[in-house]
Amino acid sequence: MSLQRLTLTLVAGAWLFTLLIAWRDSPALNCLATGTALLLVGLAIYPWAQNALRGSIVEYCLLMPLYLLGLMMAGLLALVLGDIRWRELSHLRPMQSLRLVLTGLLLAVPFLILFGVLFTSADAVYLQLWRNLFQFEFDGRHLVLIALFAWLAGGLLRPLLWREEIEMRVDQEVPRVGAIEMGIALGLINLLFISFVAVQIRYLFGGASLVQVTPNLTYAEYARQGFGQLVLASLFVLPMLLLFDWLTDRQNRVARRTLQVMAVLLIGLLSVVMASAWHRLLLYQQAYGLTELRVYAAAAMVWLGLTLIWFLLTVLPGRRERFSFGAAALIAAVVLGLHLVNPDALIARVNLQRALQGRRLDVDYLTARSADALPVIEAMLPRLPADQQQAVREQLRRRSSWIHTRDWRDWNWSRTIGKQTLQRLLRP
Amino acid sequence: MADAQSLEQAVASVEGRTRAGLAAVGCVLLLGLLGDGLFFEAGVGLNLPLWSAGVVLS
Repeated sequence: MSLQRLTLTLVAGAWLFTLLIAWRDSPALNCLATGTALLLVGLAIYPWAQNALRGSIVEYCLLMPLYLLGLMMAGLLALVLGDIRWRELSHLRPMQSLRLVLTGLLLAVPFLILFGVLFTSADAVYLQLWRNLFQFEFDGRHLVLIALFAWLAGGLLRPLLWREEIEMRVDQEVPRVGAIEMGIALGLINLLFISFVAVQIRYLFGGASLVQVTPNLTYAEYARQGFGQLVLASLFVLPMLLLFDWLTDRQNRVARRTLQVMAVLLIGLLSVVMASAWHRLLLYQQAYGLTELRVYAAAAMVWLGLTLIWFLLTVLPGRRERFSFGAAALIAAVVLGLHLVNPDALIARVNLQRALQGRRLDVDYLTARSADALPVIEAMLPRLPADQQQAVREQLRRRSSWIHTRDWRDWNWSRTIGKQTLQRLLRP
Repeated sequence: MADAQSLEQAVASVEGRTRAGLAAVGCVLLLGLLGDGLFFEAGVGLNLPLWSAGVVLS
């Protein structure tokens, strides 16, 4: 695919992700859609390094964010002060006229102010005349918004107009690591993972009985204690492996081979850690129900699992320049998948299902979901005991004002459906 | 007639980059105004894809 076509595809893809904001109502989903759109635009406008830095962790974590931030900050200034050569315009008649007018104005302004102040001080009727003339209301926030969006547009448009080649030579002085250092570092990390996995496998395959025989440890506590840490540990492995890949001496075949073996082993061990995290998530959900954080943590684990497979297929065989687009495509796929799954509706469905089985229902949490959850609530509410139905309706009534959009500008499809659903739910 | 010709020559002498830059500045100003119109005292919804469409079309 040509560079121009790729850029257009990425920009069109980014726009489609902004369109998702007009579909679902969940603020978390909206943030993810916006983030994905920005990521795709970033990929479209970023001029990839053409040397050893290409596809390295330094490029992902340092050069790319700094470059894109710089573009966004300086795009408009570069457009006005750098790209437009004002001297070329100076001999055009409109510019000459403009220059004459501006010169006249500049000459007049100090004297206009001086005499204006004197005359308005001298005569109250005259002062009132000027006051009436300038008595209009203007909200300064308009100027701030215009400047903000113009700045943002400048930052986005300029790199799309002119793709610049950038010279990046950060890696010239970086000391590379060979097979021994790589073996020691990743070997020790693998040993730590093996020790943890040895314990986890007992829980994973030992079933509930093993947890229950451990004193003072309930299933829910067991799950609660480690889920977040395990998800974080899993998420740290990918950048760590990218760092080791970058540090490895590419000319040293033994070092590369060591990295490949150690990384495959580590990813294998990580899959057990992730399985343990997933297991705890299920236990946690059984004990306390589903929450937004748990849904998004699960989605992050799905993305990580797929991205690690992509890492094995691209970075380890030495084709790391292909990694970024695949990883970004996986982010886009997971975010799109989340929009299809509709997390708030899923949370409402799971938690109401638990309530139907006699478990506790957190009414506050259920009714604080976005409009995405309302059709599910409407469908399942009649099956709940009367007192719970009453509590949910009461809470929805109390919070019903949020669903009314102020005008067409913040419209979304989900809220339109939700508004009708809410009216039916609250009908006496 | 002579004036029109000299104006054409003058416009032609303006380099492509400057011309594209001027057009971009015009678009940027319009996008700033559009952003204010779409987002002033409003939440996020249809306005974001509309503004983004403006950027893409520019």
